[in-house]
Amino acid sequence: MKPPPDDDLKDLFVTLEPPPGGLTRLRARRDQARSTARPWWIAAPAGLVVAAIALLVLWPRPPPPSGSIAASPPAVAPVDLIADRDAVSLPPTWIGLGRLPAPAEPLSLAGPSALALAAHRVPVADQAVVFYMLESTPSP
Amino acid sequence: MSAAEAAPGLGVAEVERLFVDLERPLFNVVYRWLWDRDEAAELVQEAFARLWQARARVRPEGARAFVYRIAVNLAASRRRWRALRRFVAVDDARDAGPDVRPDVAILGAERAAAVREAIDALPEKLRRVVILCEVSELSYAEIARVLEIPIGTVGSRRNAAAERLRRRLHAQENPHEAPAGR
Repeated sequence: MKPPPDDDLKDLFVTLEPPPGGLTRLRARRDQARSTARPWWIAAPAGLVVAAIALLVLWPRPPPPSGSIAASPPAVAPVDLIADRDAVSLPPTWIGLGRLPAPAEPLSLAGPSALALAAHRVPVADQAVVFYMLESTPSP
Repeated sequence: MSAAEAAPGLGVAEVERLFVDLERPLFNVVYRWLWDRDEAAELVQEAFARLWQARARVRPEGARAFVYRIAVNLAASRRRWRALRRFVAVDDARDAGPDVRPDVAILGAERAAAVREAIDALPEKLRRVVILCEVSELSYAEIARVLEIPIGTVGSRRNAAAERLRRRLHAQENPHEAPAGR
């Protein structure tokens, strides 16, 4: 049993009127939902196609055979090593976006260490990993 | 299942009748979460849209509790989302006029602000109960069903919330009085 509301609380919770036309808006919304709802015989095949594409994309691929490590061509030069290069003539972001071609290897570092180090690519099995060896070059 | 329980499923006429019955109290409940007339009205629409989507599995005798539960949860969620947006400064916390805040037109700006502050300061579980008790037209048993808590808890939380509201408003109206003990 709910007690009658206290007068002081009644004063706090005055009854407000909602904006007019609520039922009309609800009907319009319901009708719109009905008209946009697709019948199952259209929705089901579309869902199957999407699921098949997702399956193909996400299906795990077998790892490359171990003998192919040395034979695999090195991946495209990454942007990280050249991030320290001259930002005016070779902006790393542009190279990353493909607007500028990546410089030929071996990549030289920019800045104060430009003359002291050179990079050589070390092939690894995982194409997502790029491994560089840095070595000293004789001072001029 | 008792013989009095109807089979699940609501028709167009039943949903519309429910909307006519509940629009105003539901608007008043949701408004106390959002403090925005248009947003509260839109949320009532959303709650009924969800009822419409679920109409095939809702029993007629449980439809009121269902739509209240949806509306309260949506309002609480939207309020949290709004607080987050304000925290990261995406939204401005702006003072709205009577167009957006109909309670300002009735209570006056100062009183309406004090009431809002007092209600907003309540802990979530007390706020849910007291707002439903005061403006929803639901019985204690129905409120207990909406909030999925025992009926006794509804009464105790409602009393606790009322006491806090009274104390806070009294303190706001009498700022120079020493706070009561406890």
